[in-house]
Amino acid sequence: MASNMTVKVHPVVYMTIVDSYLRRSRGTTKGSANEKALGTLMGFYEKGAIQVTNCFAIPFNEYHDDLELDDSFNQQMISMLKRAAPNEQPVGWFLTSSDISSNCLVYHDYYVRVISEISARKETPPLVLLTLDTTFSGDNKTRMPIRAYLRSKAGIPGSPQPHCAIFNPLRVELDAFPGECVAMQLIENSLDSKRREASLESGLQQLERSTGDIIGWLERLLEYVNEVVAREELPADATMGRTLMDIVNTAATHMQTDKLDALVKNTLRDYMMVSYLANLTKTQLQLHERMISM
Amino acid sequence: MSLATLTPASVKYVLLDSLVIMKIVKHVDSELYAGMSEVAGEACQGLLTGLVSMEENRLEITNCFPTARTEPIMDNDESSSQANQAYEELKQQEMLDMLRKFRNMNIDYEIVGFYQAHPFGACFTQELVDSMFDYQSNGPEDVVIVYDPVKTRQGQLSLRAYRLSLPALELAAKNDWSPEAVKGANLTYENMFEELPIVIKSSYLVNVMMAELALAPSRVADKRSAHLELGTKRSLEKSVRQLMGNVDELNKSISAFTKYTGDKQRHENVVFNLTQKEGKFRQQENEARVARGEPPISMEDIKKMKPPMLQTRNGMLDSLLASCDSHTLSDFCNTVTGENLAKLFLAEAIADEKLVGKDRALSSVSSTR
Repeated sequence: MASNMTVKVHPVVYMTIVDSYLRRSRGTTKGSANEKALGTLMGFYEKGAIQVTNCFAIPFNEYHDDLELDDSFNQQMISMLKRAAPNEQPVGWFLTSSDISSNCLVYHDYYVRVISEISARKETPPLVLLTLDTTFSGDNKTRMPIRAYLRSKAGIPGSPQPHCAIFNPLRVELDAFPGECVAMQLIENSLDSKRREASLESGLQQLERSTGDIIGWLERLLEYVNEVVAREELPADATMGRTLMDIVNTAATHMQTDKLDALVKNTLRDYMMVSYLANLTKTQLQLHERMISM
Repeated sequence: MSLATLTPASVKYVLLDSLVIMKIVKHVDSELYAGMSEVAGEACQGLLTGLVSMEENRLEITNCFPTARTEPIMDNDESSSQANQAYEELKQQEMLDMLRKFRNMNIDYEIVGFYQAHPFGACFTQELVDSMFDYQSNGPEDVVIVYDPVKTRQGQLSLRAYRLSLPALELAAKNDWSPEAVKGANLTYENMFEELPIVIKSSYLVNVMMAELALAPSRVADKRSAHLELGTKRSLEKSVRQLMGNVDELNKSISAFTKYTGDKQRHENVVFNLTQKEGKFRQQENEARVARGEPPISMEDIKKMKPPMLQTRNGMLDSLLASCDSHTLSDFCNTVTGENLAKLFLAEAIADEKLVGKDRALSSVSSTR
């Protein structure tokens, strides 16, 4: 089995998992409370990687050893999502708990069946289990670990039936389409606000903020460099020095002065013209409005 | 549709869950990634669900789902219209199914509007007005979220929430966009749509997760400087081209309107003259007739003269929409050029600084020698 595969998860998947955990069903009947959310991951396969681009939660019930899953719900959701985004197919399932119990085997078997029914190929594609510990039950109480597993059968060679199954960990990476990066960046702003809110900002505000950021980082770098230079012995960290050198090199070669001059000269006039035309259009519109309402 | 069902919306702003934003952005981006649609992802649409919070005058949008891709059927045969209808019914059925599933998973299942992706956010078409009217007559607080993928690709998330204003709704209910009705309702392109401010909210757990993701090393961080890109000329070119198209459209409707006002004036003059001249004569005649005990001649034939019609399909609607579109596009051009100018000046300043820095470095080198 390809255990060197990377699982590339898109931010929307994490958000849906977290949201479905927040909206998990509180137990109405005794003992049926699921303190977890479970669902299907949708995505597609790449060379050496699995892209997980979407997911949804499904109703399930876990009471001691009685496991229930809403299969028709799952199937309908899969076919509906497929119609909205034809390139996606189920690639695995998620669970909001970090410990993998024996129940997971049952769920995994179910998902293997679902996928082999859907995919036309003979051998079933690899199936991922993604866990997100939303209860902070791990060793480090302040982190929310994200893990992905691939199941492989294990047993004594020669015996017809494998004895056990191992969930092999896979590397998880955050991946995002360009638009998603931009959206994530904006949503991260709500981290700093007390009401957990963020508002859309205009381009100039954004520009101002990132310029401020750059200046801040440069100052920090300068401070670091000064500190290192002031030290008696040579710095131990050579990689840092190389990175710094890289930055200086790109800064020196990235935008040549004559090129920039040409760019400024050529585009400045264009921009002015477009801006002028746009303003003219607006004025015209307002005039037109007055004429009509007269 | 009776007028009584139209109630003014009381919502002051839209609270958008971060999940909804990610879902909308993902929908458009994955279509682009799969190469299924043009740059702008016009085909991307979906429904928004959430709840209305009356006490705080806000609309909370907590989830959304994409509608299936439309497969347009070009021919207008009998069979295809039937197929279209069947398709519409299927779509409706699917929507209800999805809402039932949302309910099953404890997600808010009240529809509060729809979202649509449109380049430059210039989305104002007759279809939009029609569907807005449909939604708003069912749920007075419904909004449309317009997402601009072009601007987002340039590094700035662009979402806008709109709804039809009350006068526009009333006109749409009567389906009467004649110049008199529009003027009577005091409708201009500026107050046709109301834009609502958007606030983005994330839950505690989402915040924790964003922090967790920010800690993890990834290649995503490299893509974060999209808004510092200097070369956004192509999209600007496209928007200017679109603006030109809109201005042409507007010109057409203005000339139609001018013709209409001319015609109307002429017509009014004719009617006025007739009532003045003929009227006097007929009045005398009538007095004589009344004195003789005969029935008077009525003035009806003059009043019955047909007034001129505005020579466009939807009356003033086209012109209003073209105005809205050009307004948005020129806004887009304006902001983009403004930002780009700022960026250029920034780059220039840095280049100047670099020169100074080089001189200084050179001089320090020579001084050490």
